[in-house]
Amino acid sequence: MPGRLIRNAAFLAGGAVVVFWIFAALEWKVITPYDPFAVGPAHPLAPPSGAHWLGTDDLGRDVLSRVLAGAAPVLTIAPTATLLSLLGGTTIGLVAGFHRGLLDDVLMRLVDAVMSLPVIIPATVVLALVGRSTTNVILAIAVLFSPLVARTVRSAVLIEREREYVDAARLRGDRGLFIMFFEILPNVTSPLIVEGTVRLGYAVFTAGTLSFLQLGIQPPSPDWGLTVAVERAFVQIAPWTVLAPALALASLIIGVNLAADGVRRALAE
Amino acid sequence: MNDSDLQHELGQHLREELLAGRLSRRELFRRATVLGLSAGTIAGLLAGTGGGPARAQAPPSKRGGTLRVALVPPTAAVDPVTMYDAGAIAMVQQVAEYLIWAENDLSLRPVLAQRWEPDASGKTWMFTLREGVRFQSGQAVTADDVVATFDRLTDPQTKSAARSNFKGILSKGNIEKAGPLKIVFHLDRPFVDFPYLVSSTNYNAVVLPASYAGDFEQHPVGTGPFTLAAYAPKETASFKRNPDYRQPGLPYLDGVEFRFFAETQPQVLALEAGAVDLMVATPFQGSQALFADPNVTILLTRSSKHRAVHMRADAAPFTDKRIRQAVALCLDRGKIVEGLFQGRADVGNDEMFAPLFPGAPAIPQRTQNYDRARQLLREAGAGTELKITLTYEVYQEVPQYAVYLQEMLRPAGISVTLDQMTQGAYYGSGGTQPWLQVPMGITDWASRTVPSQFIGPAYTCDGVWNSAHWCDPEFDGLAKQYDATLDTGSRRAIARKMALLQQDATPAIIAYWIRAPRAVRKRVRGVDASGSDFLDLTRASLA
Amino acid sequence: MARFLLRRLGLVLPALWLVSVLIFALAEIVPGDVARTILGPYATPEQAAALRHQLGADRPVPVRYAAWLGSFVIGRWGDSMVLHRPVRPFVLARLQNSLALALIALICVVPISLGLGIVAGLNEDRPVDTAISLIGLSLTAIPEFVSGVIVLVVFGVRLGWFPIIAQPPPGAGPLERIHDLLLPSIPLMLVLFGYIARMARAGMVEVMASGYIRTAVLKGLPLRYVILRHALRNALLPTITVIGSQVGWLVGGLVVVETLFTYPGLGKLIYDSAVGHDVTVLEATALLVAAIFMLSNLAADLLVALLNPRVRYSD
Repeated sequence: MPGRLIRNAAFLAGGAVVVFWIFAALEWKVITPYDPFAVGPAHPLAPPSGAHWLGTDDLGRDVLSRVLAGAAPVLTIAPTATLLSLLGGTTIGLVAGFHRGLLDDVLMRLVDAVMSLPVIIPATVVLALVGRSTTNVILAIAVLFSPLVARTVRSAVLIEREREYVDAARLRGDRGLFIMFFEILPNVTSPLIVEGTVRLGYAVFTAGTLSFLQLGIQPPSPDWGLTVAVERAFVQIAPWTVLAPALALASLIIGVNLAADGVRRALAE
Repeated sequence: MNDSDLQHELGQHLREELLAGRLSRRELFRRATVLGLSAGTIAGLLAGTGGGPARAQAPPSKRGGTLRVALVPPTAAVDPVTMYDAGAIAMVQQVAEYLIWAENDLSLRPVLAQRWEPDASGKTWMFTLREGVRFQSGQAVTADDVVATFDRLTDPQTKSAARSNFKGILSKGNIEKAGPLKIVFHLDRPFVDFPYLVSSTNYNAVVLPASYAGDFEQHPVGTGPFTLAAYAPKETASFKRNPDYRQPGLPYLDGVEFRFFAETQPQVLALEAGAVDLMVATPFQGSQALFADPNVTILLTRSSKHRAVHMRADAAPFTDKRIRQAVALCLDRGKIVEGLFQGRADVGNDEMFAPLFPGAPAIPQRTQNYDRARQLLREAGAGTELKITLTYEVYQEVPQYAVYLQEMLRPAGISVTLDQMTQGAYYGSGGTQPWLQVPMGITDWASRTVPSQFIGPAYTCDGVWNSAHWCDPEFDGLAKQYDATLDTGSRRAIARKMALLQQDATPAIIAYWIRAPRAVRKRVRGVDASGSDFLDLTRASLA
Repeated sequence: MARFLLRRLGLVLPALWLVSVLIFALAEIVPGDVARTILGPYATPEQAAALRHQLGADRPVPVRYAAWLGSFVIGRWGDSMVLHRPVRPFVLARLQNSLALALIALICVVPISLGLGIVAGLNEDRPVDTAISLIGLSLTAIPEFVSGVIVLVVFGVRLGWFPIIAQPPPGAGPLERIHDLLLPSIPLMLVLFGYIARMARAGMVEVMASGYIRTAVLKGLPLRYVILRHALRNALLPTITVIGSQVGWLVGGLVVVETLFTYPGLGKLIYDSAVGHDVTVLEATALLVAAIFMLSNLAADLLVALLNPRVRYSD
């Protein structure tokens, strides 16, 4: 009984956090105490105070307002990029892990080849080929993350395919594709979800780092990843500028995770 | 050593100007050093004109110790002829020396050259070398070495960027050896500020042996106070005291350790923790922690470092100068200086005669005026909503400056889209060089010692780095006149005309001139800040 | 098994070749060129073109690639165009540094995160699990460059327990090395902890939920024995894959950590040579990292096969 209650409370708490950030992403223009883009050259890097609850950043902008407004780019880019990478990676991992043999080896070596490239190279290529935009940040991140997802999924698939239910399905005459997507896939969701939540956090910071390689998110966007990448230089004298977006992201990730857990459990029961 | 008749005449003229109140003591001193007047003569010129306090006697310095320096690494193999970045320059300047050193107040101090003088036209300059100076390899410094040094830099095949500084002024083959220690420079056109071109200002112009073969890292030879003992690229460089240095008793230090850091933040942390003693360049943004640290002294000096926000006069929408003026009128320069540097910069006036340059004309300071800006925009037919893209590099405070610009242009109805690039992409290569091509961009300019070194390349019709593509023949003519005029009073009048012209045309916004901070731990003595971030450790010591 | 191994190893070479081609081609697209890196932005376009010609950097890409490949495969890695130094000793020294750092991080983090992940999995949904999972999750929300700076400021500057500059003096003993390299390895550990612990936990939960454990216990085997011998093995599998795939990042992807801690590793070298168009250095380093990456993945796959008798590699 107590386990059940905790689980429900956790799910509710997680869900509430996610809903809050979605609300912030949609309504920041209404709820932010200051204009997130209004500079304040008279008081840069001011500590939290009555006027600015979370202090100001290096350009004197209100940190609280920027964190709230930052939910918008974050929720646009990170989940989309993560989902895309999960899609791409899962497909590759499923195919490779299920079919084995030469197909598996060649596919995974291609994956290895792409993964081992230094990040700046694929990032710059996407930029050069299709120009700079939010869509391309998403694409670039999806391309960068798919291989990792593929590896994890493939590893899980390798185990699953040896199980009896797969043999049973084969004996029934089910086709390979059917087995892959309808028999095996549901059983590899656990590592997949872990991968997804980890990737989500990473997507935000990769987007911020990529901005330094001149791809995508341009200042003065309040995106959390971009903010952290820029304000990191001031963490010594103004830690709030970095802690606020980092904690915001942590809360989002935890919220997503708790909510997803709750959903998964509800479906399983 | 006697000054020439011409020099005496020029000196007297300077004194007249001083006594008439048209010249300050500081200006006289600077101008006199450029003209090559000896110290004794200069003292005489200044006599009885009410001096400042005598230079305080510095306490005797402790000898010995190794100074640990934090700086950015050289970007490529270190070669004095082609170097352009702070790391390589700092390394070379410990080991090699120039004919002349430009001080922070822009006066010139004889180093390897003992004295120099112009002829009446300003087209011929005679230099006499100091006697008895030896390279660290043991060979003596002669006129042959100096001729070879400057032939190398003016050679049409040279890869040195210094060649651009000499373009139109000095050509290869016109450097004549007139004696074992005498050199004569025959210029292509009169240039009264020529000594600056053979000074530390032209940082590639260190004097190297005539036999120099481009292999500085393997055979680091110069006349400087330290020798290069070891070099691990991107990591460390060690220097040892030169026991045969031409100034007896100097340097005080036993050695210097360079430690290379790719960014400002780890340098700041290392200085705070005491892992290094000196940070060669301390940009305010990112080093704020040091400015409040009780164990750290911040050395500060004025410089002509600035950021030029150019607007292409030959591309929409900036073809009409009223639009360029309107943009310039949107800036609250005082607030920008406050926000970016906490006041450690001088406000600029969209012309090249920085407050640091003596003889800078006093013209009305441009200030923020939205009403006038909107009026100008209306007159130019720009409508109520003007859209522009601002391209810039990620370098020190430039990204923050861009956001300030964006916000300050908004109330005038100008909406700015920011286009941020890495430094490499902004400077580009081959056919793509955004800094010279984008309609509006922010370019960082390092210190120069004379306005001509900005004006020539960036604001004349033939200027190779004229991002604004601005061409005004009248301005060009005035610039040439300015370079050729020996008389200080006339020079100032020409400068004034140029400043007014440029401010009116506004090819670029120059909103501030940065003061160059340098952070050192309290135990470091005998080091100055440098407007060009040069590191002179000849008199450095550790308490 | 042997055939599998041979085939995998056999595919490594073509994969590496593919990487070398990709690098060459893609490095062309990165803005800038080697002549500008050497001469700076103030050299005239003519001077830059002259240097480019001198270095042979203006030849067509396939010609340059063939020339580079020709000397690389016979062991002549060439000189860095930008630094005028032989590539091999330079790159190998950096490799050694990166490997040292990766090793220290892994040795410290794997036992802890594995142990805690298993504990969490065994106690699914109890407070212990919630605590470990949440901490792990939160840590993935903090990128290594943020935790790096915090760690530097607190332990390096304020407390002074560790050196700011992670460079053990030559001739330092292993303990001193670990002490000097501990600071930069902490942000790496924090990043990996969340990942590994969550994976281990998920593996444990999966195994515990399957009938396997119940069957074994019903068969009469003691619970602890069952857990240690069987469940543990299956929980390790996804974990090993994760670690295998992270080695490449640990060795070649730590640009920001290396910058912050002034650590001369491969990550920064790859980045600098890519941006500076120093192709000989870039190729050598990228291929090294790619090789390590592929070999560590292979090792991980082998371990997985060894641990799970069900996962057999058919010929």
